[in-house]
Amino acid sequence: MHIQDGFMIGKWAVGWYGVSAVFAAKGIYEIKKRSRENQMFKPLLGLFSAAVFFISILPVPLPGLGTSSHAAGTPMAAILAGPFAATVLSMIALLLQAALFAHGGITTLGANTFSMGVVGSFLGYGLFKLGRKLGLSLGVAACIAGIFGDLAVYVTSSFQLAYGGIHKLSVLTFLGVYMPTQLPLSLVEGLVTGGMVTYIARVRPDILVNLGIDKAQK
Amino acid sequence: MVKVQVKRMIKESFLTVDAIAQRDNVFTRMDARLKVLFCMSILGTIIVLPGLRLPVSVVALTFTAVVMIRTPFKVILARLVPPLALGLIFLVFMLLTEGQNRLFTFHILDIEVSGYREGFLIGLTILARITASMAIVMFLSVTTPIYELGRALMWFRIPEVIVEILLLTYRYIFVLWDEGMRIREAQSLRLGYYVGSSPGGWKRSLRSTFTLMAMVVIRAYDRADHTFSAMSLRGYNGKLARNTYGAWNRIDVKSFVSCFVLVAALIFASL
Amino acid sequence: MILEAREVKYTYSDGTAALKEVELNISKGQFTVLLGPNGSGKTTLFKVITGLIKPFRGEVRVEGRPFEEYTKEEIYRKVGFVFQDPNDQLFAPTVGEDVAFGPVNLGLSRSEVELRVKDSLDKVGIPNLANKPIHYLSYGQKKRAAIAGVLAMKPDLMILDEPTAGLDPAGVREIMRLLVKLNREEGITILMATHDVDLVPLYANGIFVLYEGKVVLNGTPQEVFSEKEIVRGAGLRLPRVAHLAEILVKKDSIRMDRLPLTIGEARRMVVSALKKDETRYEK
Ligand SMILES: Nc1ncnc2c1ncn2[C@@H]1O[C@H](COP(=O)(O)OP(=O)(O)OP(=O)(O)O)[C@@H](O)[C@H]1O
Ligand SMILES: [Mg+2]
Repeated sequence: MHIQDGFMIGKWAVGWYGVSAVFAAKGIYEIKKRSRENQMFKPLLGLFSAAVFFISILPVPLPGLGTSSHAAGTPMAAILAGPFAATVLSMIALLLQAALFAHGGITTLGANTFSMGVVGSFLGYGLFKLGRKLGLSLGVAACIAGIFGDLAVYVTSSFQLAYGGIHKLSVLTFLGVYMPTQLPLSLVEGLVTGGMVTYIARVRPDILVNLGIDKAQK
Repeated sequence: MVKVQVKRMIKESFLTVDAIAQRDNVFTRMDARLKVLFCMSILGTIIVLPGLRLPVSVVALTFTAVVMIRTPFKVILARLVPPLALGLIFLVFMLLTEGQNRLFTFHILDIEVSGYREGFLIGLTILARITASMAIVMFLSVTTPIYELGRALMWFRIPEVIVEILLLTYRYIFVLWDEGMRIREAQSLRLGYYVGSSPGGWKRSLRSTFTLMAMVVIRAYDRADHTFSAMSLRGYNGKLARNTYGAWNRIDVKSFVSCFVLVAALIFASL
Repeated sequence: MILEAREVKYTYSDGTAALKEVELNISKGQFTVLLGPNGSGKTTLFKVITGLIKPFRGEVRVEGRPFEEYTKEEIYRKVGFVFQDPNDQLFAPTVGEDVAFGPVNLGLSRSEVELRVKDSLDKVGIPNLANKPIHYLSYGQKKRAAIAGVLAMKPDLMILDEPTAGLDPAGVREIMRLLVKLNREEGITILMATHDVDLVPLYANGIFVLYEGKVVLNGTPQEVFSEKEIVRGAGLRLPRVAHLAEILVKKDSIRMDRLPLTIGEARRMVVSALKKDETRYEK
């Protein structure tokens, strides 16, 4: 659950906008640069953005519970597009979600972009790269990226809520509220991310090679 | 090879909101830039100003507007319930934990439970703010299609790249959604999803879910390739969106002034 | 010759030899059909002649000059390509914006762009859909919008990959009439791919039959379909009407001087054959 409009006091909301803007600016710069090198990059990001949006509204099954929740998709976006571009994609996804079904908000867009598009995607991307360096398989590395990328989003949100609201609730309270639901969900997010990457590597290895995620097989 | 045109799938909430924004009425005819300006200034004021009066009057105003253009009650409810529930939980929580001035006290199994005035006020304020912000954003989204919003954002100097990707995303959500739902249906027909809670069933559902997601990513990749080819043949030079307002396309002065007066009146009344 | 392809070869990176020595020549003002079964290389050939992919060997000439001599912009103005799936082509949020994309890139003035958009939408018969979001169009309307987007570039040659696939019979007829109109009234040379043999004789002046990456036949519909064995060997069949006529000739010894390809032709021939029969009986 992203932070709703109304939860956060003005100066924090503005502050988070500022922080996110720095990362988004770098993202925009990078997108522009990569589009100059390869003009296909922009349409590709548009399509990936739509795909990640789709992923993030698709229900995922949770073990034990019959009910489903949905994945965040950020770690996947970061793996596919790189962390800076993923910041921009997250911002766009959050804007669309706020407008189309009131997930998150407009004034909290900065804060949510930071938790999801900056912390979530950088941690996810970093762990994926690290995992690959340590010799883990694509699937396992993506799974770890998925789990911790997702968790990081909610830990960050808890801090943002604790320090940015007009109340005196502590971080622990928010963590206490988030974690029971988010812990299993982040595990599922990990499995889903790992599963996706493995599947793509199996049926369309060329995609991962072209995106520089995997090396070509000799 | 013949692709059968499958009838539109279940109207998911984003499809509904989009469809409502396409209808013709007083508010959809308004300049999108004006609506954005109006909603953003109200939203900002709600977050910045203390007190309950502004949020409450905003809620009253926007709800009247949204009902006036006959937004289905289900849509309003679907949007209202989650944030409202969150706000209510928060209200109760604050009421019971924060402050010194007791409002009431009762006992449940020897545990003393009391509600406090300060907590109640804070909780109520947050609840009002959430509802008001939700209402104003809902107003914007049921009166302004995303592509008009995108154009307006571009006019407000939001970086072009963001708007371009936003518009591509918006365009292809519908295509990928249709494709994804078709795959999902095919999977369901072959027992790909398990309803229930057995571990084996969960695993199968999970496998189907990530397979579907991966297939959509693959399709997105291939489609990007085709779309890029199609763009190239029509002279794509790295620029996708353009400012359609033009230098002389001014915001209508009368509507601008009336919006301004409305915002000022709202703020003034709530001071 | 507005378009020539000589000994064009193309092999995909996975080793699939999609085109093996393709010869193609299309003169100005023609309505040509590229006929071939699935996987015969139609799309690949179109990608080569629009410059999307470079042939391994061989040469493509546009109006007598080799492809490489043109700048990209000159090519867009001469050759337009309508993709099989209109969703690939229509990427802008609304019809009008999508149609405007090409003209804007040609550097035309705002009013000129507007004019071209209006004109193209008029020509394809959807002038009222300019502000409509693409995802609310029917499949047939999307096809028209895609054609309008290419038309707005004012090409001399319009290439269409399976423009009738996925349409219902009425939709097929409408699109084909539209293409004929563009061909006759606007003088646009048309080259379209299809595997629908019944469609061809009604509209085309010329046919190229592609099979396993080679042009195995070319000529007028009459010429092509009289080579029954080659047509069948290329994974295609005769038009239903021609097939019926073939059976009538063989089994019912009705005499026809040539193979009818359309219902109208068949009717005339059958009626005259029957009349001859009647006169024989009366004698
Ligand atoms: N990107 C690709 N990589 C490898 N092989 C390909 C690729 N695209 C097409 N092929 C192969 O090249 C051959 C020709 O394909 P092409 O798409 O040109 O046929 P087509 O006549 O357009 O078929 P259809 O009627 O199904 O559209 C086929 O064997 C196909 O499998
Ligand atoms: Mg094809």
